[in-house]
Amino acid sequence: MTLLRAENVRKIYRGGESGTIAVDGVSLEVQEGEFVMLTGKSGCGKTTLLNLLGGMEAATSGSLFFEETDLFRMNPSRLAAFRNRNMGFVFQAYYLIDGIRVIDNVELPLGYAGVKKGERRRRAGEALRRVALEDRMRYYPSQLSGGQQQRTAIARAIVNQPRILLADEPTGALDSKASDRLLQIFEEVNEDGQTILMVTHSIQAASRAGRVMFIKDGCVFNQIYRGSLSDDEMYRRISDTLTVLHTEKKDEDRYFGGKEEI
Amino acid sequence: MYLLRRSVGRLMKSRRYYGWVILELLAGIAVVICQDSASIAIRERLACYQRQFQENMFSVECYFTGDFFAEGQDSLIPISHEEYEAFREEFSGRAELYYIQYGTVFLGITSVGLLGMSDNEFERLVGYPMEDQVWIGEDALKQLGEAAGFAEGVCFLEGDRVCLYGEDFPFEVLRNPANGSLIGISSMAGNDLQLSQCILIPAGVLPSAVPASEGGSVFYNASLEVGGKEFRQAAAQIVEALNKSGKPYSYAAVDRNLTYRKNSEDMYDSIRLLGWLGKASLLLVAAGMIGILLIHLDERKKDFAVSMVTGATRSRLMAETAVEVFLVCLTGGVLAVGAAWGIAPLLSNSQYSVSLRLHSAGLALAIAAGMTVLVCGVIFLCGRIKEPVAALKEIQR
Repeated sequence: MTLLRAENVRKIYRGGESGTIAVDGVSLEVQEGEFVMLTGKSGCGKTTLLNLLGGMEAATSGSLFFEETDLFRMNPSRLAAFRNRNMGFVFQAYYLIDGIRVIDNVELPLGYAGVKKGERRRRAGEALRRVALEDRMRYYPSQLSGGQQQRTAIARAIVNQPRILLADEPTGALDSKASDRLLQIFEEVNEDGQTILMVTHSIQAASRAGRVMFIKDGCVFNQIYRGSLSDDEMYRRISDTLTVLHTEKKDEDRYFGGKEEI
Repeated sequence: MYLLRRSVGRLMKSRRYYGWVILELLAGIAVVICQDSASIAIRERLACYQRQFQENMFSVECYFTGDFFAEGQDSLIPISHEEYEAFREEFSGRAELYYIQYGTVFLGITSVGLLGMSDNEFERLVGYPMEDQVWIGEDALKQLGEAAGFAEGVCFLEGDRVCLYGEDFPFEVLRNPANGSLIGISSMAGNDLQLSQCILIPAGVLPSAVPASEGGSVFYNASLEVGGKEFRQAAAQIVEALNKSGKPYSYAAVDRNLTYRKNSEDMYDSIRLLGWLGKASLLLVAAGMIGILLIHLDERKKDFAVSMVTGATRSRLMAETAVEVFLVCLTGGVLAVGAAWGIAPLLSNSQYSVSLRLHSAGLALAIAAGMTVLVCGVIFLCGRIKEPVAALKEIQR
């Protein structure tokens, strides 16, 4: 079942007389329960695409359907409520609120969803157990390691039982051991039926997904489906594709200041 | 209700608010004490004095430099009991003791004894009916003395000394052996003898002073306070008469009202300055609050961004933060008023007692809270809370 469907989504950042095409007519589908990775060079537009797919940023043109709901047609308030119910976000920089405890950080989306206090506490505790942080719930974020903070962020993202989890380079600031632990958590969550869309630079991380989408110059350049491939085969194919991606000539037309009218 | 609960919960959970409450507490104390205790209470007290001076009080003080000062003033001796009795006998039937007291607002001069005038003489001279005055004849004096707790009215014996009695201090009646003149000397604070506060006027002297002095006892100091606008004319007549006569006094008359007014206006200016300082401190506190708020909101950009990503709407965050700001102000303010209430009595060692009034404290609180909420709104309108991605990008920079 298709959970997310983007149709010819385009995002142009305007600045002065020129502008930059960040996402250039992307069309894609994400099925329910999929674990999809977006990868590509720095500045290729993958984070922008993730933000667009998460409804956190308005597209210049195109449509984005979450099942049958067109997110780009929603007003900001409804979109915020929709995000709260259906989407969870994890960022590279964790973005935990420093002044409140871990359990309160995890409860945050539930509060905005209007869940009662007792239920909030119960569900936040359950989410922290899933990321093995139940013994840190009374801590403040600053008292946790980077890996623990990211796991807290995952707990916050999944506490509302969202339909899709969007993660923007969640392992980017972690060492390999913490990254591995984190990816393991993502895999466990995915095995429970959670749809995951993740941006990563790491081939290691990408090789653990069910599908890898390569982004280049704001477009989907290629895709690899795991199918029956092993982790090693996935790793090799991703690596090969990225090599091709990195060696191809940069598409100068993307930068159209003075070259192309918008 | 949920919003309130959530804001309270957030305030309880977030450690950064504690510091803010403490700052607010200190600011509130400064505002309340400066604006209320040090300014309003004293200012109003002075305004009260000024009203009294301008509307009800009028004072004339007459200084006499008669024979008494010619010689022998350094060898005053107390008159004996016999002399006192003789003195009373001398003036019996033609001398009265007038004790006039109006108010207690002016330090030091609260009473005047006029000895030696009959009611008619006094009434004729001052031109207003005696019944409107605190008029004390010998019998009335006794009654007043008893009512006021005086032993024997104004004059009494203390050992071998003959004394006049004021409300707070006795007057010792002395005689100048060089010329036999009498003088009343007040003893304030027990030891500090002061040549003042009392006038002994033999019968007939004051009215006759207009055409000529008949001698007798020496006037040393007359301090007269009368109340009410209608008395001004009377007092002015006394002064005029005394000045015209030239003897046995060389100088008379000071319209103390002018002095009082000037003094009180000087003080009023000082207090007004203090009031402005209080207001300035309020503005400083408000500016400080704005600064704290700006820093606070700047620090909370990340919170806003995260909250928006996790489902908060812009309006929701605005309302939430406004409630938080208000609650913090209220908490700090209430603590400040409570603390000021405790501190205010400790400042009462000054001449004017310091008090804290509820509506002033409420006003200070309302101003602080209102201004904070207002600023909060302005900051929101200026776009401190951005859309999720813009907010995240801003905190990444």
